[in-house]
Amino acid sequence: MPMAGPSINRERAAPFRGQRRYFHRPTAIRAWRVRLAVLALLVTGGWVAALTIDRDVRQAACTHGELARVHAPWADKCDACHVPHSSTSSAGSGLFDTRDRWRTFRCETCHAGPPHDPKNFAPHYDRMAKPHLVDDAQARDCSSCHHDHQGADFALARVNDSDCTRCHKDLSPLHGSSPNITAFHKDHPDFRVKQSPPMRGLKFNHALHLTTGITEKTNLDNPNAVFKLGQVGPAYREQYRRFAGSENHEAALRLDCAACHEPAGGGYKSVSFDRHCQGCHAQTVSGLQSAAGVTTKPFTIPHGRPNAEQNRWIRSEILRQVEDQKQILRTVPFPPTDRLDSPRVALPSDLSKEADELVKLAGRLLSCQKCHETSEGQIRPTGTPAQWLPGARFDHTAHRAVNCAECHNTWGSTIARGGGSEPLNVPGIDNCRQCHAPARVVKGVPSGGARHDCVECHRYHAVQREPPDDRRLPIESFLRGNRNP
Amino acid sequence: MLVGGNTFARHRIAYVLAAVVVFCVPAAAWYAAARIGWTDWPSGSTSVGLILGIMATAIIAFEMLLWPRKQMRGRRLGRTRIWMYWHIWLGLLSLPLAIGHAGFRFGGPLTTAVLVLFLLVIASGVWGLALQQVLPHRLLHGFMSETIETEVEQVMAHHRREADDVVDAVATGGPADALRAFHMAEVGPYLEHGRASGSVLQSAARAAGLFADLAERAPEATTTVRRLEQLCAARRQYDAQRRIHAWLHNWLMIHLPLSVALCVVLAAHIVTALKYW
Repeated sequence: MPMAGPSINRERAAPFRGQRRYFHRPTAIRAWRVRLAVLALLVTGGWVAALTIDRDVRQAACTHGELARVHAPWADKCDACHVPHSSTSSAGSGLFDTRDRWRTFRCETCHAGPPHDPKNFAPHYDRMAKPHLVDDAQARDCSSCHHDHQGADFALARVNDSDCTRCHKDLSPLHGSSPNITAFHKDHPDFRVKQSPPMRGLKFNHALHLTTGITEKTNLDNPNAVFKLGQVGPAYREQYRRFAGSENHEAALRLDCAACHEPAGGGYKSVSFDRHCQGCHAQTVSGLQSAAGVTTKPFTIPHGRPNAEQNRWIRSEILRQVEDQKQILRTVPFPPTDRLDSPRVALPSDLSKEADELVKLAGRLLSCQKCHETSEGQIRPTGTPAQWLPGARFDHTAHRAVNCAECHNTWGSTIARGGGSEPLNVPGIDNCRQCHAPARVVKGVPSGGARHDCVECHRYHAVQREPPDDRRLPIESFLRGNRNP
Repeated sequence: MLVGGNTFARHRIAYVLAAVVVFCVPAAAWYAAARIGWTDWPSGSTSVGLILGIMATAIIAFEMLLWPRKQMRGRRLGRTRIWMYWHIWLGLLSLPLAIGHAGFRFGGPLTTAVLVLFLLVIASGVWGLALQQVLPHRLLHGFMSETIETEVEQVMAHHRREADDVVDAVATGGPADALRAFHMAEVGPYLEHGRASGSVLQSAARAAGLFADLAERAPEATTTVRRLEQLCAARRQYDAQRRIHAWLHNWLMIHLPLSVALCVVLAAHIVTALKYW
């Protein structure tokens, strides 16, 4: 019987013979895996160990995030702003109290209020002036609204709406009753000036002043109706030359908004008679002549005086001019007397009487009521407040790309001569919401998209206090973020 | 480990990626709500944020236990498959937890290091998981004589000896010398060192041409030539198998060291977080 050869399985197993502990032999990948793991352990362990050596390095590395630039000098000094964990004044020591613990701040080190309220540097409202308002403890915690560690360029004052609406969505517990506001584009009430507009005392027609020639279109062919550059007072002609479009004195004026509304900062200078009205509306009394033949030269009277003072000014000016002409007045002979000396022959008739007559004449020529409303014979105040929106901050500069009439459109284009005051020309909140609302497209027309958060218009801190002198810091302490020397 | 229970690898990969997305949906919703202003931005120091951080840390600790579990194969510490299952799904779950804890921010240098390492660990893990959906299938069906990776060199040394024997058995003189020279110059080094030898035989097409030419020149040694060709084909196959094997495991060279680094900086983060904010 022939010898049987090795079985197929034995042949297959032959290459592996003597290598049964193959699984103990490391592969290159496994070896590198271990080497790299050890390297990672050493590198990260070394880095962490290096952090523990220096206190400033450690605190800079352990920061929650980069501080805003205004606080950057204290980026490596946690305890400049945070009360240390171990301090007795630190709030909360339990595991879940980390938030309270690290939100126990020392803002008053640099932002100190007065001695009786050092932690409250800039309160939301003056409780002395408004004692009926509740003192909200949360409002005294700076970190309720100002969240740092958001990056160097983060604006600490640009707080979230939620920080405002936390209280303003329902002010009744704090404020008694007030409009509840959750968002500008939803339920913000209209501006106070729209709800109760001030009493206006000025009759000014914007539409008329913005037309060519400052007259109705139908009058443009009438050379006497069109207001020309030459009619502007010589002292003001240069100021208005650009509105004539040429040097020609016969050129008709065409004013625009900037003729009277001059930018200043984020708003406009107040319109003043002397600068913006007098060039065309000079209060000039033309030459007068009394029945006795006394004449006066034209003279300009100052604007803005009370009636009685203004009358006194006119009378004194007329008296001054009449005094120079007393020779033309009729002389009145004195009756003969028994005195031996030669009698006085005559005196001019009563100067005062002539002046009174001319003052009356001047009073008829002056027409304050053309521009001013009167009440009980007195000129009413114009009723133009220094700030139309006292509770907010509106920056005209940021809106200069938009046509003025897009917002100031309540007076329309109707020229109404001799009418009363124009309607209030402050746009309502809906006008603002055209842009200041979430972006959307309605029937192909874009709408909204501009910022509409609370701090876009409002400032929280109504009262900015000065720290008392004894709480002001030396530079060294300031940079150390520590009041103690 | 195969996930998704689907036959096709691309479906299983899609399943893994979909799982990542689904797991991140709550975090994305939270981000959107905070962005719109419906809710506050999450923060690691709030109660919710802290709980998320503790959960993520616990998961990371469990994930790291897989390493000692693999080292202690002899101990009965539960089935590897079960361990792997939870390693994968809890690992994916830790992603939204950690992001929620971080408040969608990197923070300072230490927290940035923690989060970046964590994201890299998760990314490398997902990459490895995706590879594991494809490559084992290719190994199973593409390599009929697949062997254990650490045994390849042993097997090829055996084949090298076999090749030497069959060539020595061929009579000397004439075309047989050419065969012997070809074996010494190309076949032997290739069988021994594979791709590292730089031999032309690593190209199947070129090898087929060379062996056909050799068989034509030495017709009496056709059997030997055919055997050498088979052995070279086996070497090529083992090289390909090693390449795939390397892809199947090389992601661990990133995943594991980064996991170790993550544990170190995470420990530092825990200490400083409780002490410094």
